[in-house]
Order: sequence, then structure tokens, then C-alpha cells
Amino acid sequence: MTTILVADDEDSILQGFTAALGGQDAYAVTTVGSGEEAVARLAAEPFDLVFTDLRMPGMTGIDVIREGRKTRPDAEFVLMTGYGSVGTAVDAMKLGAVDYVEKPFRASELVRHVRKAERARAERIRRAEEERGFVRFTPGMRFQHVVLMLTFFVLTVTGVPLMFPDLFRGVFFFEDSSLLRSILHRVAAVGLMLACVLHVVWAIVTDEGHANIRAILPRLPKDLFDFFEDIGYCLGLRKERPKVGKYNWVEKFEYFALVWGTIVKIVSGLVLWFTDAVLHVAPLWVIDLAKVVHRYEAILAILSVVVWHMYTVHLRPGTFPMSRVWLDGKISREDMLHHHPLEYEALTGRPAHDEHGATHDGGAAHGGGAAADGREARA
Amino acid sequence: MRTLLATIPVLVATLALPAVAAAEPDCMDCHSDAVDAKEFEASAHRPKGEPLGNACRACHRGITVTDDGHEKPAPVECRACHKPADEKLSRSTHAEVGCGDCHDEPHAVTKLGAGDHKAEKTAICAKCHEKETAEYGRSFHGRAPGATVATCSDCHGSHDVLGRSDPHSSVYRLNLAATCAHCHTDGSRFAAEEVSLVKEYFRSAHGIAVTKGGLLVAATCEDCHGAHSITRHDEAGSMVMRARIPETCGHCHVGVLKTYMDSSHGKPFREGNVDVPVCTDCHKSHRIRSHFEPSSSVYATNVSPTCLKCHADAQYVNRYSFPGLRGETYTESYHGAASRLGDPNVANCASCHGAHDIRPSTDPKASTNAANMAATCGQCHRVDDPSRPMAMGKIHLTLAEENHWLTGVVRNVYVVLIGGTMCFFFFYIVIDFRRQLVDRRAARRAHGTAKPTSTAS
Repeated sequence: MTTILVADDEDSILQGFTAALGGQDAYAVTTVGSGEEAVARLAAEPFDLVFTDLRMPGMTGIDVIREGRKTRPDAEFVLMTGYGSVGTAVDAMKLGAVDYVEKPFRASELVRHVRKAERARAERIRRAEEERGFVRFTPGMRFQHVVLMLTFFVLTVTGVPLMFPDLFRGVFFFEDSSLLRSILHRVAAVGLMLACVLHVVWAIVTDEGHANIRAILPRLPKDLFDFFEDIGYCLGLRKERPKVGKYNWVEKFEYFALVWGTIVKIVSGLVLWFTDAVLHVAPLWVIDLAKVVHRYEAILAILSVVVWHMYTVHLRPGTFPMSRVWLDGKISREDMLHHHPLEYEALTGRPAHDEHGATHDGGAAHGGGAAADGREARA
Repeated sequence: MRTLLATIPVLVATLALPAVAAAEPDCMDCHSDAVDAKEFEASAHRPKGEPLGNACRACHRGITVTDDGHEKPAPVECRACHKPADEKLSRSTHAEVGCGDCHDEPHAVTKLGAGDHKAEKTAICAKCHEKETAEYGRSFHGRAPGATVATCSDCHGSHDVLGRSDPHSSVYRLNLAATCAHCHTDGSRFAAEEVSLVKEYFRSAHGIAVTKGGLLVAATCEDCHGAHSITRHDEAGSMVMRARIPETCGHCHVGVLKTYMDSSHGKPFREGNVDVPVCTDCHKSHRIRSHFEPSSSVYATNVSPTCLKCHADAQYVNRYSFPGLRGETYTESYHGAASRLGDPNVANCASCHGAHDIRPSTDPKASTNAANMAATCGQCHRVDDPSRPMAMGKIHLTLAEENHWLTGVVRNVYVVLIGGTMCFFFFYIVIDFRRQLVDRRAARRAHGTAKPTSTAS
């Protein structure tokens, strides 16, 4: 819905707006009788479009645009002038007004100007979004990811040799490298445990932590449906990918697999680290079990990262050669619309559709309408 | 000065010989019965280009013949010609031995040509050293044919022979290995592997102690192989034959021998079983090295491969019914994996079972006896409070004999989980990859056709 503020000292004009647009669900029209009122209203609430008369007692339309743009830089301003004020209209454009309307006008003309202003606004927002992109990972999240990545890498490099000892005999090619291996493994393990503590504190204490944990918690049955719909789409059984929010079923699955795996690895790893103590408080099979668990969980985790994570963030067409989210934390507008439409809608309050006319995101009908408007505007 | 003066008449005599010869009477006129003319003619001592009758004067000097004959000549001085040999001899342990004691009747002396003259050579020494040469005769050196086999002088020297306790002697304990190696590292006489084996000795614990450390008690060649009586390891009665190895090593390593003889390996050995390992099976012979050296066969990380040579060998496993899979279960354990990676601190076979004192776990003295296990594991797995009991259970775990059924269940669950997850991953990746490609192609096509329409309008 587009919210419109109309400021004019002539009642007939205000009534004209209400008559032309007031009946439509797509528009919410607010009318005020003076420049001062318009500025006060703008300060109180946001509007998408502002139509203001030039000549009013007190504050002029130029004043309304100048003041209004200070408080509401996102709004589009349109100046309404009588015949012969073209020069002033040009001044208004310089101040940032998007259009001007010559009075008097017919209802159909008015609708055309409103649509033009709407398109200008949509275009400006689109450009801004394209330029800025959207924040996917905050610096805090990126830091956690880097720590996780490094510790995982070191743990893998220093742990895998134990699975294939003959292949890695003298791992680092100097004497006593086996001692270095076990020290590095424990250092990285402590790093990973600290990262886990940091993650929990982050999730509990910070707003972004709350928001992201809330976003990644499983939603049933939607996530289950999403999973089947996604498979169905890949197999050509469905026309669209499921519309998802910030985290899709793949990411939720990865996150909870990671949480589970990390807990299992830490517990079994600590048992193996403090064998001497465990030998004196628990039966021997606890250590046997910890060995089995630590080894198989490692195989599962490493294969998951190598096969799954490397596919989703590197090799996947459209992502290849690498998703840059872990570096700059940003996601492009296009990816946001394609992969996280519900998040886009929640963030911007606008429907997530692609003006370029892609048909798989559910924006086909609306896109068609926009194209028809375009032809009308040019004619 | 006096010696210089003394040489003048000799020189004069030598130079004047042809001239004097004509004037002097022929020695053979009187001494034809004292010297066999034929033998002397063939001898190495017969001066060339000289009438036989005058040749005697080369050695029998200072004879002036008158009508009454001549004075008794001065004793013959071998030294006059054989000065270097004489000097060596005078410094040797044979300083009091005369040339003639070893060398033949001087008028008959001939040079030994190429060929096997072992018998002639040893016969000389046998005159005094009867026992040693008899031993030598029975030894491998003594029995082997050929001109290149060592005889007395190859090891002891000839004119320069010194007593074995003399530090300069070639058979002094610290020099002996080099003396033997003189021939035994010669690639033209011995196969490459034998040469390298002998060279290994010099890098071994014994060899380093002898050559670098100057340690008289460290083993050198003769301690294991014998000296005059040396025989090959495959000859019965040899000091280095398998059945005599413990005795030979035990000659020095008395304590170890005693422990070994009472162990799982030593007891059957005493009963005549030669399948059991003897010293060299674990420690090697010439390659023997300190267990602190990473290249040693008994270095921490090499112990288990050394034990497994037999304990994972189906032949011995079946013959002696070794308890199942002791090698594999160790190798697959954390101890085994870390050891294979090169960690010398984790437990190897010897850490728990002992080395020379290895005993069956049923023996109350065994380190692996149930009563001693806590102490054995406790060597490494210590806690401050010794009163807290240590967890007990099977060590050499097989899949069939685990300490708890849960381990096996968890392992199987993981196998299924990993297999299932990977199957799903690959399934999804394949279908998603294909779909992504299809979508991108469609998008490109749509974009390509949309563009011209929009520019046209």
C-alpha cells in the first residue's frame, strides 16, 4: 500500500485526490490544508509520496519540499502548480521533487502522476538496495565463522593423521612432530570451545544473536514442507522453490548438525584428553566409546564440510567460485530476492519480486502489471 | 762416523768385486759340500751376473783368503740388505727372534710367487704358535681355499707384529674391527650386502663405543665371531649360530641373559626351540643400535613392528596358537596409531609386556598379570591419588570382544548415519546442480529475448 500526503489550500484539489484514489485499497490518502500542517504531519509519520501545492498562505510548496526532505528523505515529492509557474517547478525539481503537476488536472492525469511517482520511488529504492546490498552476516558472526573455520582446519589436519598413521608417518617431517601434532590439536580444540562459549553468549546477550537464533530455529511444518518442495522443484515436479526467510532448510540443517557434532566432539575429545582421570572414575569402555565416537564424528563432520558445505558455498552454480558472505557479510539484492524473499519482505515491508521479470519467484503477475504501466507511461 | 767409515771397505769391495774376482779363489773349491750349488743357484739370494763361486761374498764379507785358508768370517748381517724389515722387527714383539727362526735356510730362500701359500705361511708361525695355528687350521679362514683368505700375517702383521695388548697392534681391541674391515669391506672380494653389513658395525652401538668411545669392553669382531677359530653362522658349533647366540651375547650381557632365560622366549630356547627369538632377532647383529636411536629396531616406535615380525606371522601364530589378533588390535588402537605416526611416548608392546623379562599373563610375575595391570598401566596413566582404583578391561580389543556392547552399536549407527548422509548429499547435489544449470540457461534465454523487445518499444 502506498501512503500519500496531499497538501493544498484548495479543498477541491484535496477532494479530487480522495475521489480519484481514496476508493482503492492500494492507496491511503491523507490531506492537509497548509504547508505548516504538511511539515508537521511528515515529522509525525512517514509517507511514500507527498503532493504539495506551490502557492499556499504561509509555507509554500518549495518550503514543504525543503523541510520534508530533511525529515523524510525516502519520500517522493511532487509539486502542484498553476499555469505559468514552470520556472518554479524547475526549482522544485532541483530541490529533489520527482515531478510536477499542472493544475487543473483530470482524475486520469492524477493517477498517471501518482503511478509515475510510485515508479520513481521503487526505482530509487531498488538502486539503493542494489548499491548497498543486504547484511547477511554481521562482523560478530563473521568473526565466529573465521574462528570456527580455522579451528576446524587445524583440528582436521592434526586429527586425520591418527586415522591413517602409516600415510602420515612423521606428519610434519621433523622429529617429535607427533608431539607438535597433539599440542596443536589441543590448542585448536580449546579455540573451538572458546568459540562455542562466545556463540552462546552472543546468542543470549546481543540483539543480532536473538534475531539470528530466532530465524534459524526450525519452524514446523514449514521447514519440512520446504524440504520436500525444494526436492520437488529440483526434480521438476514443482514450478517454484519454496519461499524462505533468512535461513532455508539447508542452512538450518547445517547449523544444527554443526551444533550437535561440536557437542559430541567436545565431550568425547575431553574424555580422550583426560584419559588418566577418566580411567579412575569410569569403566574402560567409556574410553573405548569416546574413541569410536570421536573418530566417526570426525569422519561425518569432515565429509559434510568437504562435500556439502563446499558445494553450497563454492561449487554451486550461481555461487561459484565462492560466496563472499563470510568476507564482507553482504548479500546482493538479487540473491536476497531469489533466496530469502520472506526475509526481504520482513525487512523492507515490500513484496519480494524481481522487476527484471524472472518467473520463478512468484512475482510474475505483478511484474506483468508493471510492464503494462511502463507502456502506458511512455505513450 | 764409525759406521760411515765401516761402509767404505764394503763399498770398495763391491766396486772392486769383478777385478778382485779374477784374483780371489772360488769358494766352491773348498765349500762344495756346505752349500747345494743347485739350490743356491735358484735362490733369491744368488746375486745376478756373478760367478757362483764368488757370489758367497755378497753376504759372507771380509774374507781374505791366504794359502792357509781364511779366518772365521764375521756373522752374516741380514740387516745390511733388509734394513726396513730389520728395523720393524727390532720394534716388534719378535725383537728377540732371529730372521732364520722364521725364514728358510738362507741359501735356498726363494720368493713366494702368486698362489695359495697358506700352508707355507702358517707353518712358519706354527713353529712357536702351535695351538693358535691349529685353531686357525680348523677355522673358516683356515679351511677356505684361495690366495686371498686371511693368514696369520694379514691380521697380525709380519715383521711389525705386536702383542694384542699393545695399542699399536692391528689386533688391539680398538683396532681389530678396522683390521677385519680391511678385507671385509673390499667389494672385489665380498658381495655388496656383506660389505654393507660389516660397515653397519661401525655405526652400531658396539662399533661407536669401540671406534669413537675407545671402550675396551664393547664388543668387537672377535667377541662374537671368535678369532683364530672363526666360523660361519651356518656352521655347527659357530659362536654366531642361532642356538649359540644368547650364550655369545650373554658372555658380556650376563644379567640380560639370566632374565631372558627365564622369560617366555628364553624358556623354550633352553628346551631347544630355535623358533623363539634370540638376541639378534630383536636387536639385529651388526646393525644393533641403542634403543634411544630412532633407527634402532628396538626404538619405541619400532618395537611393535619388530615383535609383529613373528607375532603377526601366520606360521608362528598357528604353530603356537598365539591369542588372536594381538598385532592388529594394537595397531588399530590409539597407542598403535600414535606409535605408527612416530610418537615415542605412547605405549608399545614392551611398555606393557616387558622386553627380556616378557612372561605369559598367567605368570604372577608378569607385568600383564591381572594383579599387576594397574601398576603397568599406571606407569603412564597416573593420578595423584593412588588409592583410587583404575578401570579394568580388555586391552587388545577386537570387534567381537569389546568391553561393552554399546561401542559396537554406536559404531554401526555411525556407519549407517555417515553412509546415509553422504548418499543424501550426493543425491541433492546432483539434482540441485542440474536444476541450477537449467534455471540459469532459461534465465539467459529469457533475458536475451526480452532485451530487443524493450529497446524496440
